[in-house]
Amino acid sequence: MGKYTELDQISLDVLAELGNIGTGNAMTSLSQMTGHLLEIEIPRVEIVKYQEISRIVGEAEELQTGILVQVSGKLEGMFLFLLSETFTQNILRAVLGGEERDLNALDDMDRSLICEMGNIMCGSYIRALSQLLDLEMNVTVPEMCIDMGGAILSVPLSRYLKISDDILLIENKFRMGGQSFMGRILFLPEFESLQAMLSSIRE
Amino acid sequence: MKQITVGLAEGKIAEENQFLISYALGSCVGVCLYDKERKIAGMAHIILPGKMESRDQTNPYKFADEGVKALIRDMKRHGAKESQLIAKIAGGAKMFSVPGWEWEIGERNIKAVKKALSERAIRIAAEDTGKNYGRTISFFADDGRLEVKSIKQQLRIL
Repeated sequence: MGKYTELDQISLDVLAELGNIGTGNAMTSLSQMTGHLLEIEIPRVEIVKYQEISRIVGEAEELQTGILVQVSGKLEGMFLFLLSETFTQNILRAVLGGEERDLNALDDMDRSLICEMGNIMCGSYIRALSQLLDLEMNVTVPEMCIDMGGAILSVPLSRYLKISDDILLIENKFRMGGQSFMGRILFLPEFESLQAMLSSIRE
Repeated sequence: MKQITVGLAEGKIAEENQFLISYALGSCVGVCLYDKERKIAGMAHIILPGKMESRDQTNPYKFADEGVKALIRDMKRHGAKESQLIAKIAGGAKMFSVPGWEWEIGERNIKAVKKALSERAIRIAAEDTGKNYGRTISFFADDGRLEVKSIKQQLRIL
């Protein structure tokens, strides 16, 4: 059985580039949806011990919007979009208008917009990868949760800990307007399918 | 009062003037044990129900079954009496409503913790488990109270 720590630098670079392309595509979709320009930072590919994962995502207790999407097919894994409170507010207002909302009491319209956004972003991310790699991949309907960031993260974490204490994380940060509107896309690919994909690229 | 942070898959002990805190429990369960007479408190932040579910099994505090045993052992090392211990547990939420057995981690964690406690005949004095929200828990060595904080609910004291 392989481990994430066995991946070499070239593989990590390939993953960073894939993350870049995927996020670029997802951001274009989001920009169209909101009518705002979005900036993307250079993606970070990291192999982290599970104990460190909460540190990476910032304050564990901070209110965040999590959108979880599962990927199946030639590449298996999970996407987690984490949007800060202000970012969530901004998107809702950019698309639907209206006043600042209580994120703990969103109506159906707001909730479905956030889910749809996850759907569009994940769809464009995956579409970019599957075209580039010529691999078939499917995504599930997104699930949403607004709560403490650390608690949201425990869900994909517990899935991954079954396989490995090291977690491969492709992290993309994006912002809208300024520093305060921060969002992250975490892509957590499963090891076996990831390795198969990497070797098909490098042949 | 001195704070001791209990991170993912850790187990720690607190004595007088100290309290234990675990941040943002989602599907994870915080197991708290208390020896009232000696004022010794212990907390474990467990992530998975049992070690059979994980490839890497080195850290007992990752698992409900092994974690409860390890916490009892550590508490005894600090002078606690096993027969005096009571438990308070919190966490085990279902954060995303994805259907399917493999997504019921929170509920399975709770079941596994309860089973492990009952096997050692430790009574559960209070619990705040399940539902669909995250919790931060603080457990105080001076009186054994457990404070459960969440974004969606008011502070609960157990």
